[in-house]
Amino acid sequence: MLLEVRGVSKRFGGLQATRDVSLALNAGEIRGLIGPNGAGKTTLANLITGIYAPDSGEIRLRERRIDGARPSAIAHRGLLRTFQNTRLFGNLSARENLLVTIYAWCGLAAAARMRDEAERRAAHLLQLTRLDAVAELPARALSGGQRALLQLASGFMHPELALYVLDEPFAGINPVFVETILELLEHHRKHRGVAYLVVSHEMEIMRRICDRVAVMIEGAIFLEGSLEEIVADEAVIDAYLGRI
Amino acid sequence: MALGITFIYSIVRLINWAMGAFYMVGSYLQFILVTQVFGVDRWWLAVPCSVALVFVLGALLEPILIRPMFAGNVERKDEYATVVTIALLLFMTAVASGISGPYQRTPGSNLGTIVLGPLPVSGARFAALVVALVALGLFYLFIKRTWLGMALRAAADSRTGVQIAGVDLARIDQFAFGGGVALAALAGALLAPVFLVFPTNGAMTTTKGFEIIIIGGLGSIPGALAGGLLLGVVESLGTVLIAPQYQNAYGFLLVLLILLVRPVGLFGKRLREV
Repeated sequence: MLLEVRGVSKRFGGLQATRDVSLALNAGEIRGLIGPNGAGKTTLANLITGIYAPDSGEIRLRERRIDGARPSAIAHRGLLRTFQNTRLFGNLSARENLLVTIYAWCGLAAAARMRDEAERRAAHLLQLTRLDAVAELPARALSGGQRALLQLASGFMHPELALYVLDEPFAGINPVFVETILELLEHHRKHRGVAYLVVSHEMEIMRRICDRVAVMIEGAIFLEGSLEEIVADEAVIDAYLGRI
Repeated sequence: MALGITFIYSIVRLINWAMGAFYMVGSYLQFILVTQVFGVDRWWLAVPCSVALVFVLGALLEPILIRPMFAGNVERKDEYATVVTIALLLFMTAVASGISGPYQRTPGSNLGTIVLGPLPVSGARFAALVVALVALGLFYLFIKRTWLGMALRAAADSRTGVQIAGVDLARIDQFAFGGGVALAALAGALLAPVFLVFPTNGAMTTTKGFEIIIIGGLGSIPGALAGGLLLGVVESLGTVLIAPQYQNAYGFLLVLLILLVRPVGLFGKRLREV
């Protein structure tokens, strides 16, 4: 088992953002996470990647507890995430944005030794994402779609990436870029067994890529199954339409 | 000096009011090293030693004084930083007065007066300028070319972003704070023969440092360089063209003007409210 979330709850003041959430992922799996706005999907992503510490419950990555650990420590162990509003380093070039991940992973001394390897990987990813033409531009000069691609690619620089949490990777993205993103995901899943937890509202894409989908409603996992099973479930439809 | 303030601000997001104290410590270390260890002829050896010692001092103080600010139990981070660094400034000034007394000292200089074209310039001043320029060049290369420099620039862009990527932000902060105060110490050590060594000698340079920051824009490293140059030019022109006794006032006039026309400074960016 790659990731195990057991009974995780988080409260912000009077708002119970997640309640007793349990979720398990295998290596190489693509799991969808859907639900109405405010259902706690992003909070769950933040809990898994260490941005928040859960109030109760536990999270394990390859059998080892990661709840309460610092985000940098969790990232080090191969669990990364992207943000809906891309968090890039605006003044660094696209290429440098990729290199930061390598530096972060192996530290200063080793980074100097890995320079060639890192540059090679960055060049490869820039080519895959067709960003090689803008590699030397500062990231803030890129278009929204290019930024989303770059953010995604920066995670793949991680030499031991195991689980990648993607928060709305397709929202507002040009369909051409969507295809590139899907190619990237599939490439790294096939060659390195990377697993993904994808938070998205794009049902058509989720249907294509996800083996199983979890539905979150009001902070809890309501149902898990294939997307076909889920869209057939009356209660889910009710929840989306606000009749629950 | 200004570079140090802006460097710390851009990464750690705090204004270090104690920069003058580190300038002062740098100048005292320079004085002690020159008079006790190296001798006047080898002042240039004392400079990197003073800077390195202050770097270590800053790196040791950061985890004790600054890091608690990010621990999550401090509600008003800006107020906390202001109080802590002003307290540090007063404390260090008091310790310096206690140890050395109020006397003005000088490490001396082996450089006589040099004539640059029509202008006679004190050798120590000229040396300070040259070394400062070299240091700025090295600093620029370090920031642009090395891994650590890249991590520092990344942290300046997005503190959350680097943590998600897996950078240990605590160590970046520690390094940035040490590096920033080391830049102040560099100014202190270089200017020790010019502006002398006494417990409150950092006050004027701190003021000038903040003037430069306001002119150039807080958190912008090119802004700090341009602001420093502009301030120097304006003060010199004012001295020559208007009246020499108001030298320090011209800088403040420039600051007022900049604040009226462009409150964020020449290279500053408006902070996005979250």
